[in-house]
Amino acid sequence: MSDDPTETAGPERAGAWEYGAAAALVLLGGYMILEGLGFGVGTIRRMGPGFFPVAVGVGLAALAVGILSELRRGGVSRLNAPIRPLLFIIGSLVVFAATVEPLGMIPATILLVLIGSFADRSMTPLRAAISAVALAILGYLVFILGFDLPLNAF
Amino acid sequence: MLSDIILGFERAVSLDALLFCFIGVTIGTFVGVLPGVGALAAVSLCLPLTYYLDPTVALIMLAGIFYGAQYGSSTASILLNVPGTVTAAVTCLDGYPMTKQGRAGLALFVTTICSFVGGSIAIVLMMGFTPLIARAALSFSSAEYFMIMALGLVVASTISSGSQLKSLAMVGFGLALGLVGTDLNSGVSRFTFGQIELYDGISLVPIAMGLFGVAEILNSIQASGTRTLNATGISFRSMLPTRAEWKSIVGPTLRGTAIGAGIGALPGSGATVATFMAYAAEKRRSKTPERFGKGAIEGIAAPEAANNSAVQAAFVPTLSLGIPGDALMAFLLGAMLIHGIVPGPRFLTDQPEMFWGLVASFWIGNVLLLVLNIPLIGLWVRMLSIPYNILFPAMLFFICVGVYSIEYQVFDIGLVILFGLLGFLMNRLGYPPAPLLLGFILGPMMEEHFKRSLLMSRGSFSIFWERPISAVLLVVILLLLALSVRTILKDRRKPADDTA
Repeated sequence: MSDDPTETAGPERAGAWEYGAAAALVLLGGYMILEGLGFGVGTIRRMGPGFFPVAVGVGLAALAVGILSELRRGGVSRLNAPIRPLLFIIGSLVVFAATVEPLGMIPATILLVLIGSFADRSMTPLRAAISAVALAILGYLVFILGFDLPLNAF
Repeated sequence: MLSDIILGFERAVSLDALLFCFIGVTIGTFVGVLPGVGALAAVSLCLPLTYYLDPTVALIMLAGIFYGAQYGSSTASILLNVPGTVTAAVTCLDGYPMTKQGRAGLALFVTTICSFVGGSIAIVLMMGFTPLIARAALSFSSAEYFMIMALGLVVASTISSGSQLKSLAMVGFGLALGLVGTDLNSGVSRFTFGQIELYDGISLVPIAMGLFGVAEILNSIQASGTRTLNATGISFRSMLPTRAEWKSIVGPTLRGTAIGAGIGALPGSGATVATFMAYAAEKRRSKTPERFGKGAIEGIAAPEAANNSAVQAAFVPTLSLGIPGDALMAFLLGAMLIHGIVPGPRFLTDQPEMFWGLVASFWIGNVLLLVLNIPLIGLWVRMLSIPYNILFPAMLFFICVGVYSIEYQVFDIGLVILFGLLGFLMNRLGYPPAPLLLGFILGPMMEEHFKRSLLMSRGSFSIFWERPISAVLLVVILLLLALSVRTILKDRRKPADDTA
């Protein structure tokens, strides 16, 4: 959490992401109220499983409406999302999730590190390959030989 | 009491306890030194590995990471003007100017000594207060527990910087996430969307790894530009303070320790707040406040003593009441629950060996940290030159294998991805993740206590103000909320130039 976006928020006009986030929280609150009512609120003496969800939903929706009105004073105008890190980091995690069971831990690790490393622009293929192999070996030694976890190496 | 302490030391000096205490504080120092790797991410990475350890040893190691990180975190603040963890942000203010003046060695030495003093005093306080509070808490009913937790959540979200509405909303979001799973009282499954993996609720580790691990990587890759390390010539000689400097740090260290212990033991306020308050207090007391921000030695002594003292003091409510003060402690509480340990008033009497063993390990850990941070400081300084693009792939790897090895469910990796993206968005839009984690962990306990209170009172809300302790807590909560509403309304009337 090295950069604090609130510092730069200042007088900028709140953008679509800000409104979207607050609106999503309103919707989440509303959804919880609806679902909670379905679970059965019960009585105050014997509360049903829906009581707490409804209470939290009401609070959440109210707070989110408050945030929406607060946004008129300003907020983050643009997300400035780092496309490259997002793409490579999330991509590498998805690939690991997809490959760890069919291919085993070592190939999944190599793919994870190879893809993930390129989130950084200054990464070279050689360096990524060395990291990938080193971490795969380390993982094999620590998790499979060391901790004896029931993971398949291949 | 003496026999308890001896019992504790017997446990803590056993070979396995010593070894894992050492591993814990070393990992702690490591992640503390490195910017972009936080203590929470490190602990969640290590948690799956501790499943195979004896619970006491596991706890000793995880706790070691927490307080170890406080020692290491000042190194990057002083040398690079980048805090190693959030709690060391204040140390940048005077630590980095000292480096520019060629006094880096002195600053590193002083922060370590102050950390040690702050931590040690807080451990003594903790040894005294935890049993007392635990004894008092034996008479607490669900109403008091509910109120203390509610106070924790309100404090946590109202004293943070930034929008209080956003913090409170994150508490609500955390409470909502805590609801997912089968309701224990009725057997109704709530918000599981038919996913079998969610019937037991969302696990703690994927949430923490996503919000604090993946999100941290996403934010740090961009932030980590070129770092200029200016640490040539840190000899042991250059580290030693002069007699006048020794004298000038005694007061700030003790005051910092006191502030840290007080703030740290309160539910909801953590070490970060303590450091800011300690710094502000020193600056206000000083006859020469203009020196602050330009390399004043008091300006690093007080906050460093405060953050270590706060971290140790934070164990008091966690262990004696089972109520964590901040997100880090909430995570540790979650880890204890996973190990089948239920912290609370009965924890001390039922498992004295574990409690006193943990306390004794704090002493040992702090001495180890002193050794790790003074003679071996050169090693840690060199760590700072490890490029981030070597570190973050390794973090990704530990996140993936760590999460997967909990239950061997690909589903959990999916949760990490989801919470990683969420954490990234929250960070960009100024929604703090710590209140979310606190709400998530406290939520299920609060629901239980709330239901039990009203069952006890036969449906009358008066139970919350008829019991004296509960009534006092209720008043404090209402006061805090009133203050917070006032701040929000006042901000609204102001022109939009200084919103933070």
